[in-house]
Amino acid sequence: MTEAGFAADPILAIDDLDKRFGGLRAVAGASFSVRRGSLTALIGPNGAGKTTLFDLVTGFTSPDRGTIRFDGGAITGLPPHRITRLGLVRTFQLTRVFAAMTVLDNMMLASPNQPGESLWHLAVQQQANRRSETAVRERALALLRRFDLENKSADYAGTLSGGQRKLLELARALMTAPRMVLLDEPMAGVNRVLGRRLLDYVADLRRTDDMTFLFVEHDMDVVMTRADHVVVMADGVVIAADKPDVVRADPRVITAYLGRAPQ
Amino acid sequence: MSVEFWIGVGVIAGIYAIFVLGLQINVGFTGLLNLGQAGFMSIGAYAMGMLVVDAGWSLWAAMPVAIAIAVTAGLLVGLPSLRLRADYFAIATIAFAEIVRYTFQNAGFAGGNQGIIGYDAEWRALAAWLLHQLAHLGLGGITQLPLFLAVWFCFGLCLMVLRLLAASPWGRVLRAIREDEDAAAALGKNVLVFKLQSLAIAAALAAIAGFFLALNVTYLYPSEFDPTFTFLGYAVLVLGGYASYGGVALGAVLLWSLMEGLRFLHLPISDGQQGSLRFVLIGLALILLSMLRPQGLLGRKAEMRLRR
Repeated sequence: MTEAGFAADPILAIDDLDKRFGGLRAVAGASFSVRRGSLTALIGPNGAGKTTLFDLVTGFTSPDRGTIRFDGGAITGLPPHRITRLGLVRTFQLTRVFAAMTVLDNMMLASPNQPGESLWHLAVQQQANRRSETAVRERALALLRRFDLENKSADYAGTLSGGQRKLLELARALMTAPRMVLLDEPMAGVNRVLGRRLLDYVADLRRTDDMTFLFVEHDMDVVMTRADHVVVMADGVVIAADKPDVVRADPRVITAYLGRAPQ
Repeated sequence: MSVEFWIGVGVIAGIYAIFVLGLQINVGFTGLLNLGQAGFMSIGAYAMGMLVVDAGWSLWAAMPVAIAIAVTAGLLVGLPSLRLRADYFAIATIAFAEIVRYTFQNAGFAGGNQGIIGYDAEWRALAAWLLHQLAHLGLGGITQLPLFLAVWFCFGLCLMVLRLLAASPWGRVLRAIREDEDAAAALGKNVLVFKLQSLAIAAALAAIAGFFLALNVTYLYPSEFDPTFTFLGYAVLVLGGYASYGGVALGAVLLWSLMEGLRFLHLPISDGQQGSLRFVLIGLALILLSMLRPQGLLGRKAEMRLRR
């Protein structure tokens, strides 16, 4: 299943992953890997197990069987916050901004290793906290500027439009200083212009920060023109993983999407 | 309506205000529905009483240790129950408070229904000295004034600390957990640890409120700590405003002015009936408030609307 070159230097390696919900086998022995620095698309019909796979990789559910390795270390069964701290962060299919907090607070919250998050440090190291807050605020504002959200920084996140929330969620995920980002339908509900800008920015980050992206997407134009690898899931297993043009011509993929042609 | 009477009302309002600060950090700032606050209060008050009366400690040494005991109880209750869904946590905390109350009511070590008496000699000595000083200002006749001042001074200190915490990165994480704990976890925050800290602080505030309650009534008995205390605490919280520490003071003063002020209505009904009527009227006032001003007196309307 894994083609030559695809598994070389993987940042994420998923091996024989299995997850049941009652009688439903949502993920049924899925295996694939994501190359470091790539922009990999995860596609498949509804119910293929894509979101469950994201939940498994980011620790929101634990697998019944199989292993997940991130950057060489096993992360199977770790809680979500530990996985994020290792540099693997996610966004959600339905945006989850902190509605009654300002856009800037949404961003600043996500910064890692803040001394002011410890009661002990707050009591004894107020200066370190103030310095950190200044630095975190600057970093947050710089990111908001890149996403064209700077003029919204004092607004409650709950007042943003659907597209702006998507942007905020991505910007917020980037505040955690990740090495890999999992995006669950980043374009859904975003207008085309904004969506394109989001993808341009993602492409930028790959070049400048050597970040890896794995994204679920239904828009095939976007998948085929933007991704350098495509992983196809159907019924809980990976049925193809290769370059976009190879995947597009794969009869198994066509069958999964369109059903079998009558004989 | 003497000054002495209203100072007494002020003491009760102040005790509730400290108690509700703890509820506010849980409910308004972390999204934890803590229904066991009276349990933490009784543990604090009883621990103080027993350390002084049974173990012969100084009152001033017993207080910090009693706070530590209440905090430990908070952590022990929180560790298993905070992993549960929000509504199960609420049920677990109310069960905890009832277990504590029935234990104190029936256990020999806590004095059972007789309660505990005789822990406040050091406080009375200090109060007498304070009253003597106040006499220079012409306020010597108000015996409850030292307790009133102590309660509200303590409230002011707690309020200041809580406001600093709310403005810190630590407070930011609490608010994020209130909004969406899964998203907070996905951004690398250890949600359980922050919830435990929030609950521990609430337990500490409950213990402090318990000390003042103990000093006010001069002896401890279990029915002082029934769940009504927590529920009236919630009335104070709703009245003052969700996620507002300042609102807690306003809510407590208003609620207790109403409760006690309504005594002076002269209605052609029995005292018992009038006592019940107070609760009916306050209930009505709360219903009206939630219709006309759902965010409470000092709550923020914009934030209220953004929450699902």
